[in-house]
Amino acid sequence: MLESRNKISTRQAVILFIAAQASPVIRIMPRHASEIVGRAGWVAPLFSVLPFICLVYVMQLIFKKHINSGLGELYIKVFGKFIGRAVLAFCSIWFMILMGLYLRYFAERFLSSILPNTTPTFFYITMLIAVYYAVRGGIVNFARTVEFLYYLFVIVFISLFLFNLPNVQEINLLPVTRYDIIPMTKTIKSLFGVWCYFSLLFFFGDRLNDKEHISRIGLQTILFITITCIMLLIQTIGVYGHTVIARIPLPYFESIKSISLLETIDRIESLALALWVFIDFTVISLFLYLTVSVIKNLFSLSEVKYFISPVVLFAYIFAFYLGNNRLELEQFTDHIGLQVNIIVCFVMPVILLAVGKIRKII
Amino acid sequence: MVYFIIVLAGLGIYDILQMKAKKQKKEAVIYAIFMVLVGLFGIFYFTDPERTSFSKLLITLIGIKE
Repeated sequence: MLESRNKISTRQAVILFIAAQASPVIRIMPRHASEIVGRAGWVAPLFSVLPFICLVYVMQLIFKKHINSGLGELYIKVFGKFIGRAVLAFCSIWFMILMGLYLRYFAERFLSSILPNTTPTFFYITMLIAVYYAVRGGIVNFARTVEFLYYLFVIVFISLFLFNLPNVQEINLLPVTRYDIIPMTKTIKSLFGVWCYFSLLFFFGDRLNDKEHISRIGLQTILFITITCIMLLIQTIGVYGHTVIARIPLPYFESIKSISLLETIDRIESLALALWVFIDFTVISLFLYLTVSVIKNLFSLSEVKYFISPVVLFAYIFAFYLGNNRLELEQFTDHIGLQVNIIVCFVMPVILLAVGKIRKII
Repeated sequence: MVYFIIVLAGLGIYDILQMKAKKQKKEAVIYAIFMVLVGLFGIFYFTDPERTSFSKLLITLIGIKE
């Protein structure tokens, strides 16, 4: 029934979000939590729960009366054609930049770990071909694929956490004192700068069913992603300590390397890398789909699958042009990326809700 | 750069022919503009791959020191 209407459920969309946010959180959060908070960094995700709950309720309120609309249509309806289209143009450019950024980070992960002498072109082309065909197949097929792989991701992630637990040292995680509270609030920018991607799902809101359950599903989501983020930080900071984690490029990968089962089976970091490829595929595909959805609203088009081609080609070039080395990418993420994410994914929907309420449209 | 232009032209012709068959004139025009812009961006990058990167430009613009 849902498939025949070419729609997915809010639950499937949220699974897309959970899979997509995993890649940046795994990359960013251990380093930031270690640098900013120190050994108590594993408690920091709790401070990003409240802004996320606010975001969930903002989205619930926005779609209370517009159950069949997407966020793009609402921007035009509420702000007017000129400002609405300007906002959508900015969003589409930002999504294309993020797509290039995640593509570049995907290649960097392999180049700085197991395949240092490979040309990045190989990684870009293989990923973009997979993403091109996935998104061209439509949101329903893509969401079902991610839903299946997501359960695999959860099983592998939890298994790796349990295998890594014997390597966690209490001295690396404790004590947690009241003096850590202020530094923990500074990590909100890092974590909420990724978790705010939740609002982006509603750009294809016209393809989502049961939007009346946004708040319930959103609250379940925050519980899940908070627990998994804490698990991630426990096994990174807990194994090597915050001073080491703050300095190494791939902290989660390095912590997985320390796993040794029965002192016989080790080198299972390849399993973590395979998992990571899947979540990178999800986040790049999601931003590709978001970009073409926004382009559809921007130009009032009937069909947008052909626009996947120019966006994919743009991402290929931009991945090269974005930065000359990893330091520039990290500076871009830390000083520009996270802040603009919060503006696009949280501040703008809040302004939309406020203006919509004043104009009595929402 | 040559391979990039070949892929761009190939995809462009293939997609435009499909849009033409479906009589999607508006979509074809906007698509062609997008492809030309992406082509120009590709030429811009490939003429000097060692130029200052986008990140460095933005970071310098907002005044952040390394």
